[in-house]
Amino acid sequence: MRISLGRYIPGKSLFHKADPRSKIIWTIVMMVFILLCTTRWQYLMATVFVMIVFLISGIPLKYILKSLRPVAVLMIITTVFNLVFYKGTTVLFAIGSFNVYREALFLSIKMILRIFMLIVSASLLTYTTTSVAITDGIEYLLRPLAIIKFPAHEIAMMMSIALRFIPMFADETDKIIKAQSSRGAEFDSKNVFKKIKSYVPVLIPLFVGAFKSAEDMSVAMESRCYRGGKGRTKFKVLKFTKYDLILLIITAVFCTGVILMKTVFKI
Amino acid sequence: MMEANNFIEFHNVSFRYDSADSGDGEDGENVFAVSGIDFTVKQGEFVGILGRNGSGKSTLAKLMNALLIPTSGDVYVNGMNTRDASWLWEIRKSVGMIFQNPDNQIVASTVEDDVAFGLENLGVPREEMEPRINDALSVVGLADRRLKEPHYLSGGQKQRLAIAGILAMRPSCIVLDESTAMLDPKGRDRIISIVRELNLREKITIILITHHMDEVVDCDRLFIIDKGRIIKSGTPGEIFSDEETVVGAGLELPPVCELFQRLGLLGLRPGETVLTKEAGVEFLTGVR
Repeated sequence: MRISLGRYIPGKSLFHKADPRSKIIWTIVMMVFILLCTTRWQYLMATVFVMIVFLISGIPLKYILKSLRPVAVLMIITTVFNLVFYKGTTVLFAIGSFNVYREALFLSIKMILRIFMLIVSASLLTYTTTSVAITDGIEYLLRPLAIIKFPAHEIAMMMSIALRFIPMFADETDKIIKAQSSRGAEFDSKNVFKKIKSYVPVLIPLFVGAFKSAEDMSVAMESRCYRGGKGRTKFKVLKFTKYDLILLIITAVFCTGVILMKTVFKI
Repeated sequence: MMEANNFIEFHNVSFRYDSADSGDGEDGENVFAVSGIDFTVKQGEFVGILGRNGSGKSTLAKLMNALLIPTSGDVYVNGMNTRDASWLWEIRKSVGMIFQNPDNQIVASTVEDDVAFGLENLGVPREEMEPRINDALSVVGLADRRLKEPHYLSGGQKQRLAIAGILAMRPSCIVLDESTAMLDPKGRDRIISIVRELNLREKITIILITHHMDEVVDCDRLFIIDKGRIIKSGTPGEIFSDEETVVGAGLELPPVCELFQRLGLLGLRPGETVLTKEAGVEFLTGVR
């Protein structure tokens, strides 16, 4: 089973070495920034920044392309619609009776860049950080919310167990599909409705199995003395190093730089 | 109340699942999963519990570390009554459980993190975890898989990982609740030899619950349980010479015993019940 999102690719880059907390902060800052971008200079700078981090991380390009594949259709459709239906002032060229405007072209490029950057910055986090480290980081970052009784530890534990179970359920799904096809179920129907319907006999045993597993798991955890986050020690302790300081400083400088450009130089 | 070297004591224990969460396939509401159970396990003993599906074996196991509290009667673990909630974590720490499904008892996403899970729960300081994890993993022969994801382990390796997770917590007793049922013969042998070793070297009390007869031929003591009651107890020799009870409880004799039982019908009668291949070979060469 191939799941490219959330897959960790081992490496020794500076970005790999950074603490999950600072990487999570970096990803969130970048995503917010990308969503708030308006001018083309801002887009350009965001793109350059994300690409620099991508180069540092040493993640092969094919993995980035792989994680883009699911949204490729979305990107193409929005581009086509933008080009065809957006009405601007300057006509670039015409296809039949449709005019393609300059503004439409820029808008499409912005849209593509935006989706591209969102995916790349998120997948840089998951490619360079193990799921355990990510959940640890999230738990730590959510810890202040404990004041308002937010169950940070429980949520992190649930996430890490969920991540543990994903490959198991993938295998299980495979098995059930094989079992059902051996009893004559059809899964390769061209008809979308038939196809959806044919997955019902897969989902039901999968769900039943999931509940059984969850129950077994909770008993096993209890018998190993699990009693929530209280009094628990940690085997892996997060360490904030100089790489994190550098990453966060650069991110901060980048953000203030862009804001300054906007307010002072009006670009 | 309790003899000095008894580790686990069951005093007239009965247990009934609420009709809301029915247990091991029991259908009626008022059926006791186990009833009138009385037995003791000594410190350092290797005990086998045999029974067919739905006989109450798993219920018995869960009563041993306070996952279930008896409906009536009392269970003592190292002198601590499982009813007393203040002993709960002490009991669970000293009685480790290995369950049937290897996939459903691994919590973390790497081997070492999973061994660390129990230690984290106990609040063991970080510096102490490293050596404990190392020791536990090398006992079960998984030291070279430390950083692997459990998903890439075989069923037998997963069960060994589960044992390591328990061992790191330094239990006095390990209960294996049909832990070999989903494994291939090789994986099964490995698990059994590991627990034997733990029993001999570390003097850890082992309670092996199974329906594979050949796993229990060298236990110190055996119990056969059927319909929630202990119907026979004794040494493997005593148990397997009583074919009627074994078969009556829905079990089969170990293949070697079966063979010699049949040979017995032909007039070849060894003096005592033959339990292992080696003993069988010895007897047959003597005959010739």
